Amino acid sequence: MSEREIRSRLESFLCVRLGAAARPRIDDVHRVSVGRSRENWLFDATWLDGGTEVRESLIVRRDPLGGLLETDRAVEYAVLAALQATPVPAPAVRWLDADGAELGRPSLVMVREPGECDYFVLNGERPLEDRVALARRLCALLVEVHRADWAGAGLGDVFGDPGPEAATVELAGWESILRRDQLEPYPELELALRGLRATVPRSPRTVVVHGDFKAGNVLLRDGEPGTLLDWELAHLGDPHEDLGWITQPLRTREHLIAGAWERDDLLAYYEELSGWEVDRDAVRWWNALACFKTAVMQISGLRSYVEGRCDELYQPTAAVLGTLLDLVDELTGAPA
Amino acid sequence: MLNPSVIDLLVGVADGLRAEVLEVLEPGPARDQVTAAIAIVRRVARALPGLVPYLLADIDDLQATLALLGVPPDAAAPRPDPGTDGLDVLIAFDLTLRDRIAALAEPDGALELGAPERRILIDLLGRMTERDAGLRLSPWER
Repeated sequence: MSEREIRSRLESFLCVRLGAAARPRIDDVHRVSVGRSRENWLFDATWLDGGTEVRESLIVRRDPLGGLLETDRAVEYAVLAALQATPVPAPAVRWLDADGAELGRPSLVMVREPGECDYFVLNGERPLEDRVALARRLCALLVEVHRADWAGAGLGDVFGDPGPEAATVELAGWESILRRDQLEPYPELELALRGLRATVPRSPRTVVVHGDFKAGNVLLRDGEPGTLLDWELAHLGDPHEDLGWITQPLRTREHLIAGAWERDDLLAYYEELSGWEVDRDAVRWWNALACFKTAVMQISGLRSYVEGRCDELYQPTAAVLGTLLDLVDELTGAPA
Repeated sequence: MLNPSVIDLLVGVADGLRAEVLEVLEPGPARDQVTAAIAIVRRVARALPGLVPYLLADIDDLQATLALLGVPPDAAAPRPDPGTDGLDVLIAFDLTLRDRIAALAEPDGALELGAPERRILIDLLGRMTERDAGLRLSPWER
């Protein structure tokens, strides 16, 4: 969609939401290429509220035609709306176009929060001491997400509580996406499924799982973690799931600092802040599921490409499949 | 016709798109599409020479592994002859072998997976992912 078209659609959209008397105006529309799953447009909106001019910097997240992930904007909207009642620093959400009737594709409009994302800030150019301190604050942010009162915030109305079977439910969900999108047999993933099913852990408690927690989804403001973005994979589940995602071998550069903030440091600090014991075996299972999910996303991306819904030729990479096989090998105890 | 080869033709298409089309397009979806198309055509051109050796190596490996696991060859589907059979036949045959391996590996698969069988499968799958990566069709493979 062109800049002119999105501007026109946004003006009509805001007229409906705010009323024509509010005379909404859209300025400074431009697309940003952050993330691989959604199409993000930044813009400023100005309107009249009881004679007073209101101005907000906003962002609209539109579904692409295809890509790595297919998630529901209505669910993301409901999650963000519910999180406003918690201390979790999630972006304030404004409006939803659930079926894309107004903005062309399913979309949600959020307040644009200040700050910048830096995927690899923990291994960037800052002094080591600062980076370790930041890593600890990011861990504290994850604890804050997990300790949120999801029932009080109404998230039980958005998601089912999987209870102790959270891992089984999550595995089944990703397997169903694999079955939907695979274009050919993947013996690697069949073997991984077999190993994952045989060793599935039970969840000790239900929390809000972010699903893609990383420095790249945290807005840094003056070097401090601010708003946590990108809630499209959020759900209720096992806290070990996020710990497995951030300690998976494929993403160490984003989450760990060699020799200074290792896996054991992260898990121990999480235990200290949360007061919950971390089951290391469960984290290893979730590490393997994280790789499995990544492979399934790549397969979804490949199907999108073949169907002409995205223009990047994804495929499960040797790094992902090789790491997954190693992790499943460890889980199932096969001798080397 | 050997010259221009299929690879020459693909590279020519990519060069032409870059020189004649991309240069006159303003930033936007159309330019993004052409940029992506150029990258894909170049990757396909690069992978093409390795495709037949890749398939033959994969077929050999899959057949040897099935034999190692005690699975008899399918008499109704003889190995294609690369001297006479086309690329499509090689691909279809390779996929039937992958299907048989996947059926053995799947959670409710027929094979009782003891440690030796699992080791054989994991070793095969490791070699397959390495071969896939060697084609470098995906921009994600480095």
